[in-house]
Amino acid sequence: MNKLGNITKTKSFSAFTSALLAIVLGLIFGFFIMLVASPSNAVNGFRTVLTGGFKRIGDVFYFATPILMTGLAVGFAFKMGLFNIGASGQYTMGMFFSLYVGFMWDLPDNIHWIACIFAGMVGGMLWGIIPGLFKAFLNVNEVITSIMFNYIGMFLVDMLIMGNSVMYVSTKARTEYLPKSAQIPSLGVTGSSVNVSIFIAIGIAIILFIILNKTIFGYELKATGYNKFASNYAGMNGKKNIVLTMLIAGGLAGLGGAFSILAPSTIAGSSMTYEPISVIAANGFNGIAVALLGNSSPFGIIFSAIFISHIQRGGTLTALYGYKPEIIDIVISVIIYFSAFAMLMNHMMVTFFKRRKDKRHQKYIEKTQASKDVATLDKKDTVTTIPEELEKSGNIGSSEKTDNSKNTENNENTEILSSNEDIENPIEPDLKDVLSNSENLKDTTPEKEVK
Amino acid sequence: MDVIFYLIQNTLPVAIPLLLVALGGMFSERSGVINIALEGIMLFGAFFGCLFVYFVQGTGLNPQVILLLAMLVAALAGIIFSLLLSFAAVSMKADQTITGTALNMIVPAMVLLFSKMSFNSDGITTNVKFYIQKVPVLGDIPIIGELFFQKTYLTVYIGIAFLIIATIIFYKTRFGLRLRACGEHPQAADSVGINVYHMRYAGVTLSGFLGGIGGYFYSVGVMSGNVNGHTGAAGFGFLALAVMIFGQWKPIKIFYAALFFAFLRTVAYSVPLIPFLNNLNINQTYYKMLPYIATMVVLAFTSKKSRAPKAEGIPYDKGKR
Repeated sequence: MNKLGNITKTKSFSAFTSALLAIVLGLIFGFFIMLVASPSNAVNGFRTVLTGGFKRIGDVFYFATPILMTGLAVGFAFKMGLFNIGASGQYTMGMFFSLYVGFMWDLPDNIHWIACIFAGMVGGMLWGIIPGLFKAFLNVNEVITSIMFNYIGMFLVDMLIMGNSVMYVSTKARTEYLPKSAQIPSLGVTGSSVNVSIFIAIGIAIILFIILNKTIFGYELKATGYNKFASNYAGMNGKKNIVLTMLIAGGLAGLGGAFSILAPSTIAGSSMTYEPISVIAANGFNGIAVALLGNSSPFGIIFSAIFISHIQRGGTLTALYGYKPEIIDIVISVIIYFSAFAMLMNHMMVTFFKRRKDKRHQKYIEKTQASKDVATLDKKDTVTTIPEELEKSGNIGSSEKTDNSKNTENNENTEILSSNEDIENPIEPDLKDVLSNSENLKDTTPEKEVK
Repeated sequence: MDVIFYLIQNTLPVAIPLLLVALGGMFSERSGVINIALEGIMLFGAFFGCLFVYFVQGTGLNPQVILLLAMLVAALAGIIFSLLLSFAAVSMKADQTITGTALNMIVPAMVLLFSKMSFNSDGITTNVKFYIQKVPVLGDIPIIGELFFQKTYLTVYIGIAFLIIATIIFYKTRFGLRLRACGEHPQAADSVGINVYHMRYAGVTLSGFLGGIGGYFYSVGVMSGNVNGHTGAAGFGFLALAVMIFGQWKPIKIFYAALFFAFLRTVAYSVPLIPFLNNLNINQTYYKMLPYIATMVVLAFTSKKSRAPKAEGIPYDKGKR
């Protein structure tokens, strides 16, 4: 019981409950939207949102992989205090680099898809480092920069793809399908598109956890996130860390793009081909939701990515009842909205319940006022006796532990100090008394040991 | 010469939404609240403005009257939507950037959902002609008439009027002074009896008002009266933020910055009509990227000595020193 109480008081637990609160509020709001849009089907539709994903577990993991990566990209930068809203652009760049290597390079079967994945990472890094450099050296807010680079990246990729006759098929208004050798090996679950990349993604999340919690870089990163000025004062190179963080975050989002485009898909058009339609990739923004829900911690992000993917699958299935998949985008953005102040709401709720509990407690105290007074007196007595015992035990402990040589040094030091004090304050009697008292206290340990 | 006339005539209707939205951002940020949600507010206002037009377009009202009424509807929608931001950012002390991002995401989704379910399309299409071929008397003035009073929209004149009103409110009224104080040093403002929370609510509400109108003017001047959930406001809300930073949070400078960006965009979309640029034979997509790249370059040069409001982005807490 006591252990459970300790767990509920930890920070990560309150993050968990506030995420839960945000999810519940988001789902309730989604239900209201469904009621407004089409009252008669709302209950069935809502049930599909919640449970529809269970029928397609493979697809849930397949769609969770890219948002897991973009979630890590956003969350990792969050730890540094940077808001990487440009995950979309980095994701698109990653897609393009993967596509380019997939189509244009001729490599052996086993290496080709790995090369494509690395190319995607490089593409994302390229688009991530630019806002980092702007932030570090020119003091430009990374939010504006990365939004601008979302648009620049989108236009650039569309243009490059449409200008490349090997990739682009103008009659279909999309690229050719990637060759077999560039595809990530499937896990072979029938009727779904789940592939090896989900394991790679989870592995990367674990590596990030280690980087954040067990390395100097991770420590510096978090320190800078807590207090930029203090960490700078402590000698951490803020500029280098900003650039490095954005580089890694960009690489993560780029990997997300690579995983999504290189996956062998059973759903036509969802991967292996790119359609230039001048729309910013939604998966980058979903990454923000994933990171916020997961409290920016790599393990939290794994679970929140799977959850978001789960309700997205459910959302597409609501088409059976005449709803559109955009309903889930609404739910996700409401979840982000509430999770921005869910910690505060959580805190408010806790204090509200506590106050009620305290009020009840107060009444109880008022009833038994007289007996309590006696009890407190007793307590006081016991309290006063404790320090003496502690002192004694402390003295014994210290005498056992310390070396002889050190003690003599200490002794000398204190003697010199005491003589100084005597010279400096010869007149004031009060002070002298106090000083002599403290001298006595200081001297006790060495004296005992000398004996 | 015709090309120059054409460019200026087309720049103004694009510049006005940027101007209004950037002014909205200015009011919000000078009161101390970062308003990233401008993009969402624009689309929200545009959607309700167009929805209103969709319902009244059959009644035979004068197009300019419809425009004015739809403008009011859009403003109201913008105000209501901005309350979501001020509630989270001011009352709940939430992270303003995250809240703004969430609000930006929710609007396209809502627009798409409702247009798909009710109109079976990605947005609303209206067929009222707001275009003014020639303003009666003023359009006959030799050069000026052709530049500013022909082939234009009513939005241009309303926008300029709003610029003047906003400048007066900002610099010449007690309210404007108090608003600016709350963005610079809210504790000092509080100590002389100004309610910082009310001022910040007012700032965000004004940005909702201007953002909603700006959004509707965008759909009138750029999208010819339509609204689409997929393209949304095409990053105009974010461009407006860049315009605001470029304009150093000051109304008149913002006006020049908006003209600059709008001119770039107009050039980008009318390359085939300009013989000089057309002969260079550069892919048109480069020109489309131009406003965004220009933003980056401009920000790179101005951010070092940027005069951002000191307290922006920090939730005001009375207990903190």
